[in-house]
Amino acid sequence: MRIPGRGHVHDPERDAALYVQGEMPERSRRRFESHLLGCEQCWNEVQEARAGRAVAERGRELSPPGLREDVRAAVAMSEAPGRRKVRILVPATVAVLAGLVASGLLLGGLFRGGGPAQPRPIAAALASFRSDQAPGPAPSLHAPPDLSPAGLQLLGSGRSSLGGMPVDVFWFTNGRTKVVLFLSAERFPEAIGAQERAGAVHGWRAADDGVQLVCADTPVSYLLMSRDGSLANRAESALRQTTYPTQ
Amino acid sequence: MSNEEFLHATLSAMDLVYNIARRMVPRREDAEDLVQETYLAAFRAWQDHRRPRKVEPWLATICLNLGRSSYRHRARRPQEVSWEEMASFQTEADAEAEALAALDRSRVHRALWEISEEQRLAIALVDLGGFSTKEAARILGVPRGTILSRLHRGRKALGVILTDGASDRRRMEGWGS
Repeated sequence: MRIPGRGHVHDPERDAALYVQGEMPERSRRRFESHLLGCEQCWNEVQEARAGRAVAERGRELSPPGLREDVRAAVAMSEAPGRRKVRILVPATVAVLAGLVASGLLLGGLFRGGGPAQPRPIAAALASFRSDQAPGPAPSLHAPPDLSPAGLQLLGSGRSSLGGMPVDVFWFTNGRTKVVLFLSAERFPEAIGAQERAGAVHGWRAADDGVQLVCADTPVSYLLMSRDGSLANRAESALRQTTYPTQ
Repeated sequence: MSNEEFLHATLSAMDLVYNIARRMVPRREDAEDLVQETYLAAFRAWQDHRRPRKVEPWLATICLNLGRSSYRHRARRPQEVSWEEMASFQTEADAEAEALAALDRSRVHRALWEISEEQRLAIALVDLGGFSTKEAARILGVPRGTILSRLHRGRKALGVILTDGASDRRRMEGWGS
């Protein structure tokens, strides 16, 4: 079958794909649009293609934080004589460590050692941040806050417990650095070495082996973690512009 | 020769390579390995003065070739979902919002593994990678009409899978009739 005036075979699949893709030449597009009004088959194909494309685009992912540095390191090391292949990632080891952290075995071992121990929720939050494994797959109670003013996009979220303290966890990235946000109805205990914050915001700041911690109690109790202190501050500014109901 | 020139030219395409790698191998850590392998192979070619006019299709081709050869045995449907993927399921206030939330990355990722590899790769290159169908045809070494057909059928299949999945989930959570 031919579309009148188009000069080529009626092919709803091909035409719909080209049309939805925006790759149909202008003249053909105008003709096809006229044709669409009277051809239910083509109309349906276009609707389904549009819906499928919208769905597919939701699958787009950012590369994980750290992968860029892994690639940099792998490329740099590959220049060394005799090194043709570098494997930075060791998934099995990472998985075992993550499992240990999640089960609390490693956590207990680490914090039974000498020196002052972080309060349990803070220790659990730090372990989660460092292991890239947040505990628990349950959905979060809060909707994710919009931290895009800080250049951050949501990676994932969930409901969890940090040493018995129920929290919502949100993972963000700016493509290079991770920011993890914990929200709770309870007040977070102070981390070791925490500095009380001056001014209107009631809370504290602390650092633990390169991880910056920013905590406050309003509008809800929150704890932000990042290896980039400036990014954590920007994330906090964006968070504080978000309207949050208290729990 | 410094590797900085190579990295400067190619690192901006990392998200693109990662998205293709995720459709070549289902497990996140394998995809990360595949990205590294892709960059190492590209760097070796770069050192041999084989430099492309456009890095994106070049890296995509390397990633696809490596994925097909070295990672073929790993290309099964995902058996497990990481915390991050699971955690991205959100509880929403009403069924409509829930249905929209169901169309999140992890569900799309798994749905992409329900369709054929040919359709999945067409979608990965065009919808996720931003290539035109002409470029995708060149990268995959097939006629453009073939890409259009795979793309169209893949998109339709994806819509069907996710619509059915959302309905099932609503039923399970008691939000459906």
